Amino acid sequence: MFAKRIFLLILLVVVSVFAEDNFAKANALYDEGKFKEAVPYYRAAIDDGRYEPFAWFNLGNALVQLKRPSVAVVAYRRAVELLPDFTRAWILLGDLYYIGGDIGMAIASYGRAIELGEDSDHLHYALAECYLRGNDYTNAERHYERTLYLNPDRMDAWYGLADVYEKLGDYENAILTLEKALQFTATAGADVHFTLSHFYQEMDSTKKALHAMENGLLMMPENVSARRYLAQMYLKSGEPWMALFTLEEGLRHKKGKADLFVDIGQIYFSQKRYDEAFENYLSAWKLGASQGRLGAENVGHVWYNAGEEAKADSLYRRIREKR
Amino acid sequence: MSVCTKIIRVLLLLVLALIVNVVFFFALPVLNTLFFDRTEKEKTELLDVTEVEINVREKKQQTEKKTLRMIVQPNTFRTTRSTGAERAKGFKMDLSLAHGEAGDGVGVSLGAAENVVYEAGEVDEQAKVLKEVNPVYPERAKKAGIAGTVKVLMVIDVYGNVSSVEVLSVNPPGYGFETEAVKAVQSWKFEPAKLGSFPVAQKATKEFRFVR
Repeated sequence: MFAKRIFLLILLVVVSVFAEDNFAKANALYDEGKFKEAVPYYRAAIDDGRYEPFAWFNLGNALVQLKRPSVAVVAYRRAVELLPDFTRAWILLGDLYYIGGDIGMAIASYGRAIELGEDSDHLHYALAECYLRGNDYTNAERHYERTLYLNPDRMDAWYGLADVYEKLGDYENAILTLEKALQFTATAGADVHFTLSHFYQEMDSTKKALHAMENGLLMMPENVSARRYLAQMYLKSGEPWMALFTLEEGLRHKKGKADLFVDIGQIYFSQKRYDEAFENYLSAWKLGASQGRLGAENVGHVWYNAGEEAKADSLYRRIREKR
Repeated sequence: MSVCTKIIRVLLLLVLALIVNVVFFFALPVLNTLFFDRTEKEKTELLDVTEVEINVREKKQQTEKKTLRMIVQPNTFRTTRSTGAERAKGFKMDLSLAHGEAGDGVGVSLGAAENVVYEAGEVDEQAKVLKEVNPVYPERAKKAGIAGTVKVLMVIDVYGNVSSVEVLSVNPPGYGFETEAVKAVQSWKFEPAKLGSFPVAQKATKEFRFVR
């Protein structure tokens, strides 16, 4: 009888140690990034039973890493069935539902995490995103504000809150939100100014929109796309000289010179300043932009059509020889 | 005789002139019409000439005017970055591991979640006391020589801490027995209850007897 008890005790200890081994080994593999290899160990740990809810949870993590979110949902669900207070499992379950577009289930999962006392910026941000997608702007606003209270550095939450106001057509508050972001957030970059410019344009405040774009470019002067966009804004507002100035400023940086030369050529061409247009188009063509060649040829065509065949021929030759 | 000869010469000249005229202005066109009709050919030749002229004119027009080509220089820049789709791209999940111990994000809730805290009989292994602190005997009761009993209901969370305490009964009330009991229980430490080999929150009751 005594021997039998001893045997059972030893068996229990061995099984227990073995169970811990499976779980620990799976975790070690996970930490090494070997997610596929970790999966069978988690399954073994689940069968062992000792760390079952945590093994389900970690298995879910491994499956997410392996890009199998639908199976991961099953794992997380099992984890919360076994351990209803498993806040992190509820949050990840919500995350997967949110990413999968099942907003109702995501809100329910996140809601459970909140009931359990979770109050993280991630949770409130994710909930706000869910409510925004569901067009529940009041709740979205509430959770974005909570997110920002917990972590004012979350630029995505500032954008989200501004998005809520934009959807409500309240551009004044959208602008106010992004101005606060600039004030409170170290991570607020040029994009905030560009978005502000967008809001000002929606409010027909062209001057403020231009100013916001300029501020953005001051923070990110090498952003060629934004520079070209600003130049277009100047053209639309009847200030071609400012457009030229903006584009020529961009030539001081290394990026996107060909595009800038073409844009400058276009402005000169529209002003019938063909010599300047040609030189800029040709510079673009020298940098490999085919549109620069077309523009330069257009200048040649203008001279040819005007009867200046000799001048046109000399331009065509320069285009051919790229000089 | 001489007059007669002159008249004959004149007549001969007239006849000769008539013959020449007939041959050149009548016989030749008739013969030409009958045997050498070239009208169609002449027409074709004439058309050819006209076509050539037209073609030459058209070619001249093409070479004179050169068509300007459209410059396509798209700019994909957008001023707004606040779209949901943009933000969804940056959405991050916390995929750090759970190790089956404190800090794994296992919360303890009360009230709203009835299935969160287990009754003592529902768990596989009951919570075990690791650290026990006896309550202080209330000063007023001690001076008055009063004994008492307090029964409390506590919730022991998954980390083994007492997360809440509720006084179920106190006898006699008014001497501060329950205050001291609650104060003591709050500093107790347990090994958490287990259900299926993992820690769970558990309800437990404890009765304190304050005896002189």
